Formats: sequence, structure tokens, C-alpha cells
Amino acid sequence: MYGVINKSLKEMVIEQFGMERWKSVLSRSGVPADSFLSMRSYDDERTYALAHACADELQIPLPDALRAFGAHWVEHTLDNEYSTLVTATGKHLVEFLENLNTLHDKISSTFLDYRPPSFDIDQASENQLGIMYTSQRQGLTPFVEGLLLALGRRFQQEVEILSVEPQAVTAGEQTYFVLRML
Amino acid sequence: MGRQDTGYPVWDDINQLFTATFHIDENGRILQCSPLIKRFFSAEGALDGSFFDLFSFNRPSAFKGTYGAAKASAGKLFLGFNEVQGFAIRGQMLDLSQHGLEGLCFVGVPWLWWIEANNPKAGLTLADFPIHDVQMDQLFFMSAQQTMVDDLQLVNDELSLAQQKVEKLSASRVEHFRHISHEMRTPLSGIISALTLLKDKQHDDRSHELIRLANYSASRLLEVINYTLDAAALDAGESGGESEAFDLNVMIDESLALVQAKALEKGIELRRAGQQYFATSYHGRPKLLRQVLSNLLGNAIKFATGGAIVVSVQVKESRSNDTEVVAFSVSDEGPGIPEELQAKIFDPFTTGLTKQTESHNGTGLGLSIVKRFVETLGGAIEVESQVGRGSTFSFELPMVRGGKIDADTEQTRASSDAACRLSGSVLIVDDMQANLLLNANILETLGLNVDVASSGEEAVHKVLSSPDKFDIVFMDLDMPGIDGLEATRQILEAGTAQSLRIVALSAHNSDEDRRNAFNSGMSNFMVKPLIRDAVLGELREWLPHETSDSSNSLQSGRVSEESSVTESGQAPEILPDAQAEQALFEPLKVDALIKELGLEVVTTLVKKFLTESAERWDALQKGVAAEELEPISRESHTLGSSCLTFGIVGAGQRFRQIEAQVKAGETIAMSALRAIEQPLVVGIQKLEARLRDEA
Repeated sequence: MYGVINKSLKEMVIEQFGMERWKSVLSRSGVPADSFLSMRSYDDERTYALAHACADELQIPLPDALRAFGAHWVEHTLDNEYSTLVTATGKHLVEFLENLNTLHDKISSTFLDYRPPSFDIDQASENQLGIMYTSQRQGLTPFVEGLLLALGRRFQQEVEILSVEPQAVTAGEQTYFVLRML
Repeated sequence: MGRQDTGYPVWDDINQLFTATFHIDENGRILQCSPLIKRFFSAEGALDGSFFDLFSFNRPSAFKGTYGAAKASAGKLFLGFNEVQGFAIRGQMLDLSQHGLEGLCFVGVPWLWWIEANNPKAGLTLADFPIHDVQMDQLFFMSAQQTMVDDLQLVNDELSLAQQKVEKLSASRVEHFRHISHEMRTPLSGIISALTLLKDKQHDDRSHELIRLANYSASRLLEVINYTLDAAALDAGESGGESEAFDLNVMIDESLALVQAKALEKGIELRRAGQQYFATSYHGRPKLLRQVLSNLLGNAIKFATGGAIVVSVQVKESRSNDTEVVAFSVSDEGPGIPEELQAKIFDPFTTGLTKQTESHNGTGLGLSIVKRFVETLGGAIEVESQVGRGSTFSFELPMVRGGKIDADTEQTRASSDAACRLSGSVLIVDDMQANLLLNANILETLGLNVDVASSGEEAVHKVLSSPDKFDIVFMDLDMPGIDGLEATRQILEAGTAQSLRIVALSAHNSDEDRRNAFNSGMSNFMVKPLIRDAVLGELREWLPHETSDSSNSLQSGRVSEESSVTESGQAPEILPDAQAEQALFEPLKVDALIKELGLEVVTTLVKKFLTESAERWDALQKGVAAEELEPISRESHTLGSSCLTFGIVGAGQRFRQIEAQVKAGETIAMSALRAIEQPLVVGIQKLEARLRDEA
């Protein structure tokens, strides 16, 4: 994963729990250093190790830690460092989600080892949105949950996740979310 | 905008590919445009006018804004903007007349950078750009690049902070080391002084051996402490010695003289090679260079078990600005250094130890300090070595010619005189009673009247209450209450003891301490522990003394020179017989050796010398008989060197003459050897008699 993910995780722990707790997380994870360059690709194992260490250190289940991280990713990292792109991707939640694959396509043309997830949107009903999340990576569904809810707040659209349905896949992970727009 | 269907058959396709499109007629009127344009120009009648009035263009260059100019610029990049609407386009014109249709078609996209700069709230999204358009890619790329720059700046700041912390910690550790080293050296100076005094007393063999062992161990410890202090001084950025004029020849001789006794003890021959014309002085930092040479020589002697050690010094390059590049090397015939160790031989705590040499148990600090000193002097040191053949350490230094040398100082420095007796009165000031007592003992053995003071206040009182009593004050710098610097100022400001000289005593040896001492008015600076010969050298300058004429007692003949031909090209002059008779033997040379090594060691060495000399004499005779120059040169060189070392100067000089003649290509007659027999025999007899007298 790109360093921006690890960097964001580090920022979240420091902001919410302080530098000493982050040092403990780093020490637990076995990751040798915590100076991450945003646009440099790092081994996925490094990110997973940090996430696990974070959950262990804060004594919370890993999914909860990932949900919190998903929210932090939107509210701090995207909004602070990539706000122009977020704005350009959509003026409201649905438009943003609909354009997300296009954004990822464009990023892929510049960053050759970028392996983004895909978000395929369907209008389940008038107030419900179906989102098929597909990733080559496993275990990040809770992260996407936190991310979707935070995006709703970002676009001032109150949402509720009605269902999270894991799909049977041979590799990676696929989950079907149903969002209710309140 | 009038008609909705302009009859352009591929209009829908074009709008799939581009999001900012216009179909315009020959009058510039907009016949049709894309949905995005309609969204931005939604006001009533906004699109009814001329396309060329709707936008101002800064590309194509010098575009006149007419249909004809646009047609002529088909295929060029158009950059147009409408400041009122905060919208801009980029694209190109298609000339539809080529397809039998009316007008021009502009195909393009929103000009993102202009809109971002002039109307950032325009609300453009990805959907407003065709999928293949790269402007959004560029935006993301630039955003990512900026993030990278920010990240790198952050990492750089973190590294700078870490570096500052490390430097601060390092400086603190250096200071800590210096402090501890100082604290170690102070009591050690007491130990060494006590052992020095004990050595002169009568002891049984067991006690003598224990004192020798204690002395050896204390000296090793002092060596380690001195290395530590030297390294700490370099780490603290101190240059290592003041810049001053010095005579390179004298320095090399002095460096060789320092190790000559040890070399002799191990049967190692010391030689000088290279040019011998360093008559002019150099200006630089002799303290560092002297230490480099001494350490290299000391190291060579420590590991060599025989053979020769050759110091070579020669000018490698002369530059126009009074600078010369001087090449130094110290070669030995010792055990050599294994190849795998050569790369790290200059690392701290690394020795070139092998199974054969590990008994020497070196500290592994000497060569590290040597390397740093050489680098401080502007050079780089390297080693060439072969196991079983020996090692050569070499370095080149840029050196500045010129400078006036204090001849008296050089002379004094060169002389060491055990027989000298001083007269005068000195005051020793030190807050440590042990140091006070021991140093007083050392000075009393030189014939001086000694008084002591255990504080700065007491010293000021004693000097000012009897201004004419003392000739010299040895003043410790670090004392509680009034320290040595302040006590010196008070004494000198009183102005009553005008001929008094005050010598600083300190366990520190930093440039700053020296500067402080001299700035306070002190005449000289000595590092504790006091060494008797060093004190003597200082005091001889200022105090009346009685001495035998022993100057150069170790100087002449103490080191053999590979070339005996002087600068003028003449061979050394041989003394006339009458003078030679008087100078067949110089007892003071043996006395000096006995003082340095002890009678027992010198007696053993002389026995070895006599045995070897007999063998070499036979070999020399055979060489002369066979007219073989190589053995004649070799044996006469060694015999001459050994004779001169033990004071058998008559024979020694004759051997030297033979060596010089051989090198000049002359043949040696047997009669020349017979002429040496008598001075050699007499010299040996006198040497043996001297040893008997001493015993």
C-alpha cells in the first residue's frame, strides 16, 4: 500500500492517543521506522502489522480499529491533503461514489503499481444505494464501513449502513453494502 | 444560438469525446454547443452572440478573433477564457468545409488550470472531462508531488532534529569522557610519581619486579587515558596543537631518539632514509606530527622482533606558494598484518594481532589516533603489509616552508642530562597532598629548594609575602577557591615578584587550557604527571645549573643514516688519530642507556653485542678478502651503528667511513680493517670497565 495509508494511521493514533501510544504501536508492530513517504509503495504486510498492533495496543477489536481508521482517512487525510480531488470527484455523496472508479482509473495511469479497490454503484431503491466493494486485499471491509459513513458526513448526507454482505470470491474480498440515505 | 440541429452528422460522437464543443457558422454565431457549455452559460441569450465575442483568446499567438483567423489556425491549440463567467476552454478548431459542411467546429474541454486559478468554486467534477483527458491526472500528480515534497521536508526536519540530538549527546559524551579521563589522570599522576621515586630505591628482586610491573601497567593506563583525551579533543573540534615553526630534521631525530632504547633492547636497527636536507624550517603543528611519528615508531618496535625500522622522509612536490608535499613512511620488518585486517587496522580498538603477535596486547587505539592526526594535518595514511615480511605506513602532508625557530628551545628540548644539578627555589601549588609531596620529592632530587602550597590563596600569600624567595612557581590550574589562573593574575598584578616565572600544571592538555594559562601570564604549561627529565628541560632554561658536557649524548650516532654523504657531497671527516684516541669511548652514552634501561638490561645487551660483533667482524673480513661489496657494506653499517650506540665512537666512525667508501664504489683493503682493530678493542675494554664500575 502507499505510504499515505501508513502515515494516516500514524496520525490517527498520535492525534487521538498521543505520541507515546504510537511508539508502543510501532514497537509492537515490528515495523522498523515510521517515516513514510505518501506516494511510495510499501509492503502490505507493514500496514496490516500496524493495524493489528494498533488494535492490540488500544485493546479494541481489529474491525473497530479499522472502522475508526476509515473515518479518519476521510475526515483528515482526504480532506486535508486531497481536498481538490475529493471536490472534483463529486459534489455529493452519490456522485462521488459514482466517480470513484474513474478517479482510481486516473490514478492508476500515473502510479503504475497502484492496486485500488472498485466501487460499483446501483440504486437499490429511491433512498437506498447498493455498493459492491471489490478489492484484491482481504480484511478491509470494516475500513470501508467507516469510510462510507464518514463520506456521508463529509457531503452532509446522513446515511445508515443497512447491510454488509460478504460475497463469495476466490481471491481478495468482495462485499455488498446497502446504504440508506436519511 | 438559433438552430439545434446543424446537420453535422458526427456531432453526437464528438460530444462523446469532448465536453466543450461549439459548432459555429461563418459569422461566428454559435449553432450548437455541448451540455457543459450550456450549464456554465445558462443565462438567457448568453450564447446568442459570436463565439469570438464569448471568449478572449491567448492562444493561438496573436489570434485576431475572427472566423478567417480561426479557420487558418485549424489544428492549433486554442486557449480561451470568459472572465465574467469564470470559465475557460482549451481545444482546437475543425474546418468542416473540408467535409462539404458549413462552418467550424471547436472541440475541447474545460481549461482546468485557468478555472482553478480564477474560479476555484466553479464546481467542475471528473464527469466534466472526457475520460482520456489528462488534466485531472496532472492535478492528482501535482498534488501527489507536493505531498511528497512535504513528506520529504518533514523527514528532513526529523533527521535534522535527530542529528542535533546526536551531536548534542556526542558533545556531552565527549565532555564526560574528558572529565572522567582527567579525574583518572590526576590520581594516576600520583601513582606514576610514586613509582618513579620508588624505582630509585634499593629493593630485593621480587619488589623490583613488582614495581616494574606496576610502572608498566600505570604507563599503559596513562597511554589509554592520553589517547582518550586526544580523541576527545579532536571530537570537540580542537585543532591539536598550536601552529609554530619547527625543524623537521630535529623532530625526526627526536622521534627516533624516543624509541631508540626500546629498539636497542629488542635488537632492532633504526635507520633514516630519503633526503637529508631539511635544513630550513617548516611552519605547522609539530605536536601532532611528532605524535604521529612516535606512535608509528612505537608500534613498529612493539611488534617487530628484529631487523630494521626505516623512517623515510622526502619532498614529493614543491609548490610555488612555499608549500611542499612531504612524504613520510615508517617501514618495519615485523610480522606484518594479515590482508583481512589491513582495511580496519585504523579503526579504534583494532590491532593487527595474529597468534604470533597477540602477546603484545596493544590497546588498538594508537593507529586510530594516528589516522585522525594525519587527517587533521591534511593528509591520509595508508598501510602496505605482507605477513612475514613487514609493514610500511605512509602518508603525505602539505607543509609550509619557513618560520623562525627558537634555537634555544630546540637545543633544550634535544638535551637530556641526568647529571645536571639545578640551584634555585621553587614553590609547588597543588590541592592534592599526594601530588604535592611527590612532585616536591622529584624537584628536590634535582637540587632545588622546594616549598609547597595547597591552595591558590596560600600560594598568593607565600609569594607576595616573600617576593624574592622563589624563582619558579609550579601552579596547578584546577583548585577549589582561587584557582591557578586567578592566583597567577593576583601574583603578577602585585608586580613585586618581577623575575618570577609561573608554570601551569594541569592534567588537561587542551588548547583552551593552554591559551587560558598563557593569557593569565604564565610562562609555560606542563601536563601532569611531572616527568623528571621534562621538568629538567624546562628549568634549565631559567635556573643556574651545573652539568657535565653531555649535550647530544644521545644525539650523535644514536640513529644510523642510510646515506652518510652530506649535502655538500663530502664523506664524513675522520678524526685525526690523536683526537680519535681521546674519543675512542664516550662513557656518557652508556650512562644514558643505563639510566633509561637499567644496568642489568644494558649488561645483557652489551654481551649480545660482543657476541654478534665477533661474528660480524669475521664476516666483514671475509667480505674484504673476497672483495664482495654487499657484505662489507652491510657488516660495516651494523658494526658502526652498534659501536656508536655503546659509545665506542672511534671504531664506530671508522666503520662508517668504510661503509661510505663502499657506497662510493671504492674497494676496501684489509689494512683498513686492521686500522679499526685497535680502537675497537680499546673501546670494548673501556665499555666493559664502565659496566663493572657501575655494578
